Amino acid sequence: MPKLTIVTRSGVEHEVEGVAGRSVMENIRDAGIDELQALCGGSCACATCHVHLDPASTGQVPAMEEDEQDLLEGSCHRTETSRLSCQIRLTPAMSGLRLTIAPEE
Amino acid sequence: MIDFNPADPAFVADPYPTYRRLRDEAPVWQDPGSGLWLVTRFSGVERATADYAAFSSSKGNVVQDSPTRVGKTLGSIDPPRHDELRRIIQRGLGNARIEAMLPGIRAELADCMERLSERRECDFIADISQPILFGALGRMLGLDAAAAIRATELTKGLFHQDDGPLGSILPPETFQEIARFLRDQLDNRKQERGDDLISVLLNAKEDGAPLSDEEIVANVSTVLMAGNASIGHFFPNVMHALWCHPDQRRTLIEDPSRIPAAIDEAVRWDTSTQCFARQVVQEVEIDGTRIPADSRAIIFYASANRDERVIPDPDRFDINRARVRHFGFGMGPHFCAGANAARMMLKEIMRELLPFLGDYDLDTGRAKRVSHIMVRGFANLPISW
Ligand code: HEM
Ligand code: FES
Repeated sequence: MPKLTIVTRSGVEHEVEGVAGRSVMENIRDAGIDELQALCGGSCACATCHVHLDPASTGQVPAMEEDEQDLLEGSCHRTETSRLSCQIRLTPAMSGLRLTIAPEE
Repeated sequence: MIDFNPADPAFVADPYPTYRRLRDEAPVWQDPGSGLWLVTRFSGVERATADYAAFSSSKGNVVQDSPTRVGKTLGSIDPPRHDELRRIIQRGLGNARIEAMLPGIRAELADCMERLSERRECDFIADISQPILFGALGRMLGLDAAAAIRATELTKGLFHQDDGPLGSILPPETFQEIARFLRDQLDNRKQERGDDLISVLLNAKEDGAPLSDEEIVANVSTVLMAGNASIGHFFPNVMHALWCHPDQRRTLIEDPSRIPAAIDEAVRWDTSTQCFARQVVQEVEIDGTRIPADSRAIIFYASANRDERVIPDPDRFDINRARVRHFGFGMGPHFCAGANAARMMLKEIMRELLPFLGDYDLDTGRAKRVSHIMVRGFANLPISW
């Protein structure tokens, strides 16, 4: 199973065993980390599942589609490694992925 | 036997016991009077919002939508065209754009508190909520003072007229007047661009986005109505929830960082947008009940938000509850495009207003509730502090 490291806003690290096939957003929620709001349930419509990937992890995930790009553009906390976690489907090749939950807007 | 009468004053005062009965006894139920199918459990609502092939928005998303809007607004188109249009409009409502509006909202709020400084009571709706929110909305749409007043007048009757609890949300001629008013605004922006939503959409169109003038007008009218009805009714509901729970109200004054959690819990506990409509275009079975094709279904977000099958102790208002999924802003492709805008604006307003009003009191005996089934909110709400 792909391993994930999720860093919360307060800096607490969680090592979790991810489930391939589910989105990174669902994996974060399944791990009981409730600070990720993910209000729209993964429809790429709310931007409240915003995470910052560790720079070393960016090569492990597929590039953004245009709609994700558009939604992130509006965010006040966008960085070069910003992603919407509902738009990344976890695969075994993503093991070791490390990310931090972005600040609330 | 289900006793469902949305015009009953007891239902208007508190619809939640009726929702519970429907969830328990008939989670997918056809109202014999109107023919409408009511969907009230979390599971059914979740399914209906996700399955847009069966639960289509193409006949509009209010109980009776206006022909001037259907097929042009986000709320009355299905994917894939919906998603294409949504991307363009979402850009105009992005967080960075709302953040740029916040200083103006703060100024509006300061004016409002100045006006109230000598007073100890007023109508929360007419004297606090409307001036601040209409000011914010006018700013979002780039309206000058006279146009903002006109917009306020045009949308004032929204959900407040006498067409019954399942009726049209505005008279047809008012829909047309709103379209004419926004059409004039659009023509003005063609002459002189600003950084408001109408200008953003015009710029997108010039850059090649597939967007007609009619679609710009129709979707800006949604923003005008949502800004009026959705947030305009929700803001007083938050204040009401906090008045019912003075301990939690005090917590927010002591620790304003809890305000976003309180807003989110209030959207779950007592949302202003109680339900939206869908057209069932192919026969479906949900929660064990078959709905035939060509039916009109009403999806009760406010009932799903209180479904004890999924949400622990759902009738309790608790700003410290562990995050739960809810439908206060809808779900799926039609998830509220203004959700972040509304949350950011209310957070900013409440941070200043809560300490100003302190241990305020509401006179719910003299308050009047809106009686349309889609909306929960007050037409007036006397407040003293
Ligand atoms: C700044 C204020 C707001 C604006 C500009 C706004 C705008 C919109 C727009 C454009 C849509 C249509 C989205 C689509 O179909 O893709 C929508 C949907 C929705 N909005 Fe908002 N909104 C605002 C505030 C609110 C508030 C405060 C609430 C609830 C408390 C709310 C609840 C909803 C819901 C439930 C839907 C889904 C409708 C459906 O399922 O058909 N909105 N909003
Ligand atoms: S959950 Fe809403 S955009 Fe990801």
